[in-house]
Amino acid sequence: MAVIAGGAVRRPSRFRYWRQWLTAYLFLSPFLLFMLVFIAGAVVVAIYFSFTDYDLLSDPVFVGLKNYQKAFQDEEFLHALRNVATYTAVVVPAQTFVALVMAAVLDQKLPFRRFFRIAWYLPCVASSVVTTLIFMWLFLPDGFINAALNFVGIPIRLNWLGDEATALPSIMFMNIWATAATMMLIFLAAIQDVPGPIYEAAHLDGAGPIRQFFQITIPLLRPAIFLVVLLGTIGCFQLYDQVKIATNGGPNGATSTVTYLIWKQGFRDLNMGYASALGVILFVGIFVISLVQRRFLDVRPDY
Amino acid sequence: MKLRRSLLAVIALVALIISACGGTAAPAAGTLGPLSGDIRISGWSSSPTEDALLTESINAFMAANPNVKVKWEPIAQDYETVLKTNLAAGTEADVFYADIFWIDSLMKTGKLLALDDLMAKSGVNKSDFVPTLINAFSYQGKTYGIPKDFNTLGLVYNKDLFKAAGVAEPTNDWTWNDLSAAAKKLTSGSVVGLSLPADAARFVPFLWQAGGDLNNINNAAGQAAVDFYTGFEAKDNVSKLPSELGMGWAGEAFEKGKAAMVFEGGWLPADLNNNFKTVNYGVVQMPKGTAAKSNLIFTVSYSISAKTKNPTAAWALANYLTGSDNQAKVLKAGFALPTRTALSSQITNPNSKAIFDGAPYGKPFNYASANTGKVNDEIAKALESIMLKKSSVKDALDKLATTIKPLLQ
Amino acid sequence: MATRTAAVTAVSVQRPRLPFRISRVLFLAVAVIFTALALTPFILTVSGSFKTKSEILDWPPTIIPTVFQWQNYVEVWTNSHFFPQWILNSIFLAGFHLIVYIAIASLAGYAFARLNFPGSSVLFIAILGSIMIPGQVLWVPKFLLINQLGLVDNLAGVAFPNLAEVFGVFFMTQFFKSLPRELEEAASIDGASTFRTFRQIILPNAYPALAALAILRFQGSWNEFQWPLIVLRSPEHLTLPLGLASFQGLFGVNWNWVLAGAMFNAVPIILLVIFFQKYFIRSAASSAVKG
Repeated sequence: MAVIAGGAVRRPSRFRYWRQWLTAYLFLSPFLLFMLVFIAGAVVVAIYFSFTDYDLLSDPVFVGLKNYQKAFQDEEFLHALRNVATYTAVVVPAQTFVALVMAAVLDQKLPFRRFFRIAWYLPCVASSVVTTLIFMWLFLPDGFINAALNFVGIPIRLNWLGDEATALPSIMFMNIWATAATMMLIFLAAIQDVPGPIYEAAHLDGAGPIRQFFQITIPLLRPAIFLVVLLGTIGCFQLYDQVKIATNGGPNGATSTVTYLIWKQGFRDLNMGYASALGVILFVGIFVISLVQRRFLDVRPDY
Repeated sequence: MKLRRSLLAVIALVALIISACGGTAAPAAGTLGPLSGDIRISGWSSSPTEDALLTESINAFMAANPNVKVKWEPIAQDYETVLKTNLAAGTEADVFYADIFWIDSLMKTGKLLALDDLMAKSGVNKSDFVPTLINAFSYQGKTYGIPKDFNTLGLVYNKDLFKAAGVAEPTNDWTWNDLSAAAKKLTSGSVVGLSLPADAARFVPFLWQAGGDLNNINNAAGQAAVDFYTGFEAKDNVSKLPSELGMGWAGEAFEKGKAAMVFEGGWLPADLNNNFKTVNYGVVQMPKGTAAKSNLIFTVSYSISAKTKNPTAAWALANYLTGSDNQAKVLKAGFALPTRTALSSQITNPNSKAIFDGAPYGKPFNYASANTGKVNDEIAKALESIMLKKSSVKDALDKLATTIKPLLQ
Repeated sequence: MATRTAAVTAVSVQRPRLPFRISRVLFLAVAVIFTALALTPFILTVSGSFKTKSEILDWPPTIIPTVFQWQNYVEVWTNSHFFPQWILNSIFLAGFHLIVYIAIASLAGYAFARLNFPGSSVLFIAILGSIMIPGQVLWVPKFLLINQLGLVDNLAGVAFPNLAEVFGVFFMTQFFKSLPRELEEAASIDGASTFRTFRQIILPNAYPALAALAILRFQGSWNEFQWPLIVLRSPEHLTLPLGLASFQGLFGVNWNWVLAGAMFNAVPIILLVIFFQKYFIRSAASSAVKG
């Protein structure tokens, strides 16, 4: 077996090196093509818009950094940022945790495994628009959530989405419900591929199933955990449909997110330049956070 | 003499033949010349029955103008976003709905076709339409849209609750005092006399009824109006915000019997007729304020893109759809109020009449142009803080005045 | 913990079962709670979709409708004579996306995970960055571009930009990174080219990941709303979510229709998830690794 310490492959000759580069780029090219044409160009244009005053109806007018300066003094924007931060800080850990537990439970050889897997994935199946509508209906003051609470003896008739204090938590709940199982799928795919012999060996060493889970599975899941946390964070920062449909950023800005603000500024108030600047700021924020996450979470599993 | 007479006779005969060939509800095709081409019309979908009615009308138009092909392209949701994206790319339809709320920026940036010449050619006069409506769609003396329907606010009241409390039903001549007195008598138990939302779209008529104006919202008239509107909740406890009643909007509070009176447009009676048939309701005009009667006008026009390749056909379609025959058809189906003054006599339902009669003394819902949305947000915040007793009328108003002044340019 | 050699020489074994009944019961209890939470809204949606307009607004709300209003479903279906076309359009878009996207995403993912090439890190980060710019800000630029390409009101105008979806590349990258290197080493000794290794050894071991990605991307494409809303305009080109929304007018006015429409949208995916279930069976990866 040509394994050198650390698992590195024997260093290939010069020719093979170039060949690997070429192969790599060939593998990448179809995807890169679409990225370049449809995303790169659009991003460049959006960044350009951020330095202009653009009302969609007339041509953009260059104004330099004005939009960026305005953003940091905009109380509405700062409020939206705070909302997004709170939201992310609650939803990402919750999502990840629930997904891990789901994956762990499913990986045990319980009866009805297949049924559970399908049942738990169902919430993710409907589109965000449909899910939001369903929950708007459930959260109605005369809706099922209040009915259920009344049924178990809590006599409240809250207007969940209409009350400043409960609006954002309601949306948090709705989203965790609708996304945890997607993350579970990612974890499942990763867990399934941990080779059995590793567990066998651990078992021989005397480790029970719980200890195996914590000392083998989770460390080996680190790339998956990184992915789930990263995607979860990006998803949280881009929360839009639910806010637009269910609460319109209200009540009183309690559920206003940066993306909703971008829509409002860009399409309702026709300040597309300012909206683009907000988008770029958000982008920088997420980018920095994901670099930080990558640094701490994305480690190759050590065999 | 003889030649002239026979010439006239020939012309009359030809005109007769042309109009006869045009079909039953023929548009003024004769005066615009023969029409041909492909045009696209875009708007939002209201309900399947209304859409069916619209498609029927479009088909009738095409039957009358065989060389014109009309494509109806409904925009499923988020009409504003999709339309504005199309305007940015120059791909908008030939004819499209334009809401008074945001049409200003379109008019000012030359995105819409001025219709006056085409109107003249077809014998359509501005005076055919309710003045406040057609003028709302004018800019610098030119017309940029033909109002297709509209709504105003009416006082919707629950007849059963009035009877139970022994209060005389509202009339079209009610004043602010009448409203106040009734609200107090109707509030008992879990029912409130009124449900007034912290919404500019409900408050602003009161401002105008007191003789106030948005540019000086904190003057004496403004303060009186705000005091009156918020006082129902903040001082007399005879009104509650819809959210406090656990409702999504004031209309729902009314539908569920929690509020005896609300101010809503024709959409509330429509909802009541469809979904809440047990509620015994009536509609009258908004009460008269200390200075005047006033109201808000919500209206949508058919507008034509300035870039259209086929202005005549586009205009013919818009004209047909807003013509007397078509508007009468829509009125009969109970979907919307007509915008032509001549048709007001065909409105038999007193509730609908109350809404219709709000138009002459109403102002359109676009008082701050592209900033109307922002101005409304600020007004809503101020109203809510007063109603929830978080700040005094004077403080909130002074703050509001400074915030909205730059937005009202 | 056992050494690598021990792990590698062992024969493929099943994961040890939970020996203790208590833990099994606990796990089962948790599973049941999750199931209840997950399914209740759907059960309520199904029941709501059969209610009449007025019953759906009653308090307290009922779980079983007093009258089964099949009418709702008929009304949704017959509302427009383009309904079947909408379903076809959605199927076409989702199918196209599934096949093409999985291919290009797994190729790209493998390149990032296993192949060494200059600019790998930089490119990865650049791609990572592109999904962080909020969609709303890109709608107008993308639409301007699509318009230039003449793809407005065209399903291709929806399909092509969607191939620039980054999620799948990340997902496959992370997945390939977690595969043991022994798989490729065995192949390189046999002298196989990178592509052959990829096709014949790596991919078969990737079925759980590919199945997961397939479900996620099919679902993403099927449910997509905002971008198709902007690109498509002719009634016959609409996708199912757009078509369903087009007759709702103001959201939530007719809850029973909204819920019936939701069912039409959700059922095909549910069926697909059930179909793809079998690919989640544990792969025989371990048996490929030999001394």
